[in-house]
Amino acid sequence: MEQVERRQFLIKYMQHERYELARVRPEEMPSDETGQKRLLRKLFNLRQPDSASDEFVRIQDDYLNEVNHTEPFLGKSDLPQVKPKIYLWQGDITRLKVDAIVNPANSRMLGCFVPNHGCLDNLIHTKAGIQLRLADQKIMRGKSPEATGKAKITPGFNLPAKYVIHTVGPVIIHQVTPLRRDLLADSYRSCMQLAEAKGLHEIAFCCISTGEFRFPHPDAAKIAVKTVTDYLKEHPDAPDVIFAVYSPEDLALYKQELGVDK
Amino acid sequence: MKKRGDYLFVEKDNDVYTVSLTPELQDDIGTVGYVEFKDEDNVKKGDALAKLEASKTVLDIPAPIGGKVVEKNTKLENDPKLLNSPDDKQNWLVKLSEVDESAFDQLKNA
Repeated sequence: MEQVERRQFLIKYMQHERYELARVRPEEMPSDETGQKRLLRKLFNLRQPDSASDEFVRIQDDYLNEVNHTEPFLGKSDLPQVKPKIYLWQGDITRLKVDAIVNPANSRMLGCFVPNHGCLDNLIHTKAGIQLRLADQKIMRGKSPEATGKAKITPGFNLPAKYVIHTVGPVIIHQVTPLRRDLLADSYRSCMQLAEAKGLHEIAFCCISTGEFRFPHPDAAKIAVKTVTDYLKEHPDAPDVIFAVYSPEDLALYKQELGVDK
Repeated sequence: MKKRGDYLFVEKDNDVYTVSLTPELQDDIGTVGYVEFKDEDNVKKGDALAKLEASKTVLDIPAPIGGKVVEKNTKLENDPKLLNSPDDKQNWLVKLSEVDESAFDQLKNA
């Protein structure tokens, strides 16, 4: 099966589900690749944590395997090490073939439901496949929303990373308060503790809370670097840490905090 | 005698220590809509006492001090907004006993 056939199969399958479930009339299949990709991602994003047929999962996995490989996966040895046990790299965290990447989740912990939204939660769930939201639901079942500053772990499914560690960072409403700073540090610490307890070799952090949650980047970088370096000092068996920053601005901030030459 | 730790007040009355929210914490989390007490009664410092779902965050409230939970403010389960009250007869969360006196002394004065 060609990629285009897989893509159209996945689109039609989920459109059929939506019709059966809620009588949502299917959109017309876009003729171009970009349009189809946007429609597919939208359907992934909107899909509730329900199981799908084995055929769907197989075709989805084949499809994602090819899409996710568009750019080569990167392992720890491909990344710049800046200190003992610490790596700093600017790029797309979902390309990392490491033991765990950190997902900046919201308190529902089911991944982003906004069609084609640009947040990392959305990207991670889209690339991992429908299995990730099902796994999210399994760990959250019967529970009230996840508290800020905690962490939970799921497999990475179609991502190159073995696991995804989900943490809800603090949201900044009007200003950065001491509580919100502490909660951001809690998020980093909880992820480290969980990764260490699982015996993982490395964990890649995004810049938690700095996207939709509006934590100012300079403060967040300070807290991230301090919390992680303190943790590494106290825990010699902790996993190696990769700060996987997305923007050149964050790269400069982390270099400054880590005392790395420009 | 009243002390504070981790955004909470701890008020000592004989051997019972009442944990309540400071005004700073009340402001920071917003209106509380739901309170879920944890089942564990023997708590160490930092263990969660309850989960609060408030308008500005969902938060586990960590014990500011270790001890045994001897009373929970169960009124909060039906009326969680009491936690936003300025009255510390209303806005308390739990009462602890078997608290280490010296750990209490080390908390900041309120």
